[in-house]
Amino acid sequence: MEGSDGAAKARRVWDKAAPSYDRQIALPERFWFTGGREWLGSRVVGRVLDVGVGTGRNLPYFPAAAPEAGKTAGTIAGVDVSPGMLAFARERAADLGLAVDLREADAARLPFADASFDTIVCALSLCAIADPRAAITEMRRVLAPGGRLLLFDHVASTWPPVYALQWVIERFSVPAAGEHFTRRQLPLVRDAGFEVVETVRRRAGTIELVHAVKAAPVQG
Amino acid sequence: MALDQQLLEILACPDTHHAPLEHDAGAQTLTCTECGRIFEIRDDIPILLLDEAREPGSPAASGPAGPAGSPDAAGSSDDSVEGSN
Repeated sequence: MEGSDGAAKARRVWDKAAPSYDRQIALPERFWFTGGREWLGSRVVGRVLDVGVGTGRNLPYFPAAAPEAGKTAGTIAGVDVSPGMLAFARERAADLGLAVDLREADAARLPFADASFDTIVCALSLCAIADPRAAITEMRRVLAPGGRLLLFDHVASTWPPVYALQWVIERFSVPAAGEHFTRRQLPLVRDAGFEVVETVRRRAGTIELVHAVKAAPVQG
Repeated sequence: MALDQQLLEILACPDTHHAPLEHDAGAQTLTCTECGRIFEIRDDIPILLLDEAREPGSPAASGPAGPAGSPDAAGSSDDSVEGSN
């Protein structure tokens, strides 16, 4: 049950962080993560699951939040290990007038039947999920054939001095909060059998956006 | 609050068998139809974590399982068994 140990620790860390999370992320969001959530939101179709929904910072960018954009809105579900973070997500959903089904769950053990969603969004969460490979495998399972995986995260820099700094920060951030800075999700996405449609790398390679699809079985 | 029927249909046990869950609106719980684990719904949010679930054999919490909206109905997994030995 190594996965659940990770989840228990993450729950403690994020419950504690929840009240100040939105305030603390405001600055990096503006100067480092710029545009990432918009990029994800513009690619969301159909029934969407937000893994590591946190305080719900992706929600304003989902098509359902802007029905005037003419896109069809699907159901929205969100999971997080932290009830503290989910409480803020629920408030945000209410402010946006969105019906969002929130569940307390471990990304490595998603509480959904196979092929339940058309899009899975995961933003700034795989950096802190204990077993990102297991999480990506689970995301693939609950995606319908042809479904989209949309990831946005900070990853290992392509620029050595920045990578060195990330490595140093990780000596502290991993034991303290399970937060990783030298990971990269793209190889795991490929290994899980996804077809990568587009990727964007920014900010000395420290930001990566991934759009991949779970290929539908070949017909006829 | 009633859980959305559409989402209830795709809700599944987090264990690898991913069996459907049965909703008990009165008790505010979801019960796995395969392994029998009981998941609480707290503040309308189902807690679908294996290590937070009640095992089927374990006695139910002494009080009714979570009157809707009570934020601190948690932590009663080890009931005090008085004078059983």
